[in-house]
Amino acid sequence: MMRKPLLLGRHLLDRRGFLSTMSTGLGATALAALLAEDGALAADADANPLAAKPPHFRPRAKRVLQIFCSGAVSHLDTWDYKPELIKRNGQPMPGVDKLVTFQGENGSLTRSPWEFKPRGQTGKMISELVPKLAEHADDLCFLHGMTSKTNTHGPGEMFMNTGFTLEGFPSAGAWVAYALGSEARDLPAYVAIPDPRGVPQQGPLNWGNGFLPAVYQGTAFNADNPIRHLERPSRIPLKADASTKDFLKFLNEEHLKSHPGDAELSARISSYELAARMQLSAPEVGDLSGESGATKKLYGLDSPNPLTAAFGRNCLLARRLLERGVRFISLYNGAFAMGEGNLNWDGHKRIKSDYDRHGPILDQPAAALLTDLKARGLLEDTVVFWTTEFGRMPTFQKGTQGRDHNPKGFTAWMTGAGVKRGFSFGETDEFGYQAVKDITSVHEVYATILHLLGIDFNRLSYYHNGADRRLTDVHGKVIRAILT
Amino acid sequence: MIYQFKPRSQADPTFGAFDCPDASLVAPRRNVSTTALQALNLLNGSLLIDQSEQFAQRLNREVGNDPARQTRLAFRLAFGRAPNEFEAKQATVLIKTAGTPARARALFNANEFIYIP
Repeated sequence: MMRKPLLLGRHLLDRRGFLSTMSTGLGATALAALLAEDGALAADADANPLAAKPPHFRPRAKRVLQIFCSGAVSHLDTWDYKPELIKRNGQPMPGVDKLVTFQGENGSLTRSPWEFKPRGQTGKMISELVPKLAEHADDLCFLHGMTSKTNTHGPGEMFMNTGFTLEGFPSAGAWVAYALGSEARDLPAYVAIPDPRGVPQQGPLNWGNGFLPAVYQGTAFNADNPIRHLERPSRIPLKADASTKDFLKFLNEEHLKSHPGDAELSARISSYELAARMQLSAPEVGDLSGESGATKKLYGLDSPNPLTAAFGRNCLLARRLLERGVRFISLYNGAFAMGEGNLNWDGHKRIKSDYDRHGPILDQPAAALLTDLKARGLLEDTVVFWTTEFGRMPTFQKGTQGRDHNPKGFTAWMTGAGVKRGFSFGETDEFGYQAVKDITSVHEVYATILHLLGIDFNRLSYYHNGADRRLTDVHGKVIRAILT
Repeated sequence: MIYQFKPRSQADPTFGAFDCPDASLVAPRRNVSTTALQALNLLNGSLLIDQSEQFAQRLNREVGNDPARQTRLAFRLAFGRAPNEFEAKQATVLIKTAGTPARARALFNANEFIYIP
């Protein structure tokens, strides 16, 4: 549906284009000069590829907050209550004989070490691992029938972010930035907020632009690590920096005079102006000192656990970015940690002690973010999507106290604009092993999120390598049952 | 960039902001986008700052410390032409206040250096 983001001046004036179409090149140059005189090649036309663009139809949501828990959060110890699993604790799982999953053979069915309790008006059963998030039960819309195509973390992250297990495809945030541009004038359209412990396994590919233009890639920074290269190098004094930029501006303006109407050259001049504004606005948005004591406390900034406090600062940063009109935020909880549950939710060996560490880091700050978004009215036009790469087994791994990977069934949840509150859609079987009812996957979720943003997922495409590519590939369906 | 050694699945920290194609997929045609992050990268990234300093040293080595001679050589090397009178004057003003690497930093960020229209 979208125009290709090539700029008008480029077709007419670039050197390669000129040489490759020598016969018409000179004519084009002459035409460009005439058009420039007429003002038809307005220098700023299309210069900003991030300018806000209208959706296909009236949107319910203006922006997206994705909360991504790296390492594969066990649905069976958080959101998906299975009485049968408690009843049959210690027994072999029926219907599967010597089931081998990612790390090997499985032992017996094992109940969650955390109690489940009814929450809110809906009485939704949620575990004691996430007590503060559980207080939001009446606002959440659970997708219990989620599935993934892979049982491996890297491809699983790719799948949940891009719709493909392979690398090289644009992330959902990049697609949304491409589709809608940004309402935040001096900030990136798409921001990825890495966890205080580090980046997820696939690193920047999780917020990559794939084959979309680089302008749509996620810009990664968090409350403790600013945007790369945002700051002037310490060895260059402020005054020297300013006069260098003045001289640069002078050079570029002189140069532009001899290339009138070249939108690409003016776009590049604008990009330096935006960079200068970003140097002012990005530190401002990251400066949490003006937040009230109550807000800081709500987010756990005073927590004795430095990771809770650091994730809390990231959550607060997310709210401040959403307030300023950033279109898409990917907020990460957990970092890359191969095969162990130390830095993320990959609880293979000791799920109890691992999750007792990870639960509190996520719970209070993420719950505070929901509370705060709701209190400020932001939840009315923001859609929130909590996810992880896949689920975990209802059995413990043979010889361990943890659960192996399970892409056959897991839970994600949504809340906010246009999404039913206190609602559950989809089911896994009686043990939580496989999705059996209202089965969904990443394509349905993103088709739905695009729908909420006013975009027809079938029409959002980008021509690459012979195909009009889509975020949802050849799949997807809007999950109408969860919409208000 | 013409040749570069890179792991196939790793996003490049420098060229990633400049539409360096992801090596996981075939990219028959490179995207061209213009972003503020590219500007920040070229203004403040260590690659360009280091190169600016080395360029300043080279000018000094080749033509001594005369500002006008340096500026002429700098423009010839960076842009393939001599500076006009006004440019030469402005460049001299700049190096007086900001030092010789500043001149190179500006030239390397200039549209005339980045694009060959």
